[in-house]
Amino acid sequence: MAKRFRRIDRTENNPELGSLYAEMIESGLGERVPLNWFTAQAERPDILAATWKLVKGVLLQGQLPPTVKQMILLKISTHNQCRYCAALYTSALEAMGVPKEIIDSVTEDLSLAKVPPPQRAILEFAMKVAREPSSVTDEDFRRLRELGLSEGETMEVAMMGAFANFINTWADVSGIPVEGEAES
Amino acid sequence: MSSSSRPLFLAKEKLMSRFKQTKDPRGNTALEALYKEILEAGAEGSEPGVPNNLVTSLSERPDLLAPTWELFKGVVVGGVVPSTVKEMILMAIAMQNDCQYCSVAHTRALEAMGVPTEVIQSCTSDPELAQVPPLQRAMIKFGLKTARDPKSVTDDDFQTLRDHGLSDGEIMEVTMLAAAGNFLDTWAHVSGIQVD
Repeated sequence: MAKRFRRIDRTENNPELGSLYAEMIESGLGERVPLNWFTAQAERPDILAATWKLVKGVLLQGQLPPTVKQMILLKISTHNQCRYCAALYTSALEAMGVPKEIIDSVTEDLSLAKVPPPQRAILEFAMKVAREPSSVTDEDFRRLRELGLSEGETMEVAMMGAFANFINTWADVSGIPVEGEAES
Repeated sequence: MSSSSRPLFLAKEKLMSRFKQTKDPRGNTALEALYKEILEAGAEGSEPGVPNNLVTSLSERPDLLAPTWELFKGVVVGGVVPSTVKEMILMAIAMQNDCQYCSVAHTRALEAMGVPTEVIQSCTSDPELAQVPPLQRAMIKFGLKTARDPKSVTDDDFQTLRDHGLSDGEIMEVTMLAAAGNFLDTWAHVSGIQVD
């Protein structure tokens, strides 16, 4: 695959890009430069600003625990066969201290046997949203309600499903390499 | 036979929105500010002074409405690709996703922009997009492929758009627009909102 979008690391002459990068690094989404997912958008700081606000609002903030959000992302990224994203969310879950057997269950086991039941139900709901949103039924909603999720929390689960596809789509089409790997 | 003899049980069950839709945001500072900005950008629904159903279905969580709106504002409202082309791409994707709410909304937007009916119909019902001029057709096809199966997009697909004179930044915008189209269609499906 040819390199599709120019990734920019240095921002000395571009204060708009520089301040966006600084915010991302401050939020932990990169060390010296932000993740490839972001730097591949450097050609268009206006688009990067919009997608960054989406990431900030839907992933970094909200009411669901960060581990659950990362599990949703990993589950859907695995389903979508997005190698970049699956590697990224696996590392994130490891860094959060989630046991390896749970991470493996998310990626390898369709029945999610090692995932505790409430999280499993959340992952299954989000997967359905990502795979075929018109197939989500009132029964699926009831199941989350019975687990004690509020309407607002259910909204967040649904949005995470849509969000995961969004993240995967850009990673796939931009053709970015896995973090830490050289350009293929 | 009068129409009253029509068997009511065959009537298509109306799916109501699954989330509470706040029409009047007063008393909720965050929601009030968002509604004001969204209405100023023209996203009014069927009731004067109330945003469309996609927006109000997110009213329970202004913190989720805000980033959704930022994505929409940055990728759909802003940018360098002409609005008519964006709407055509979003319309074709809404049809691909079988999203009634979104396809109606984009049809209305295209009509309001004065796009000829045959071009709109070509976006909705002709896989070959015969009535759409070649440049726009290439952009729509790229958007459809991105939305349907992003892994299937090839270097040749990129080259086709470059050969039409698109810059990398413009290709990025088409890609993001397609991803945003799926995002919005997904929300419309899951929330169960009614056409405005």
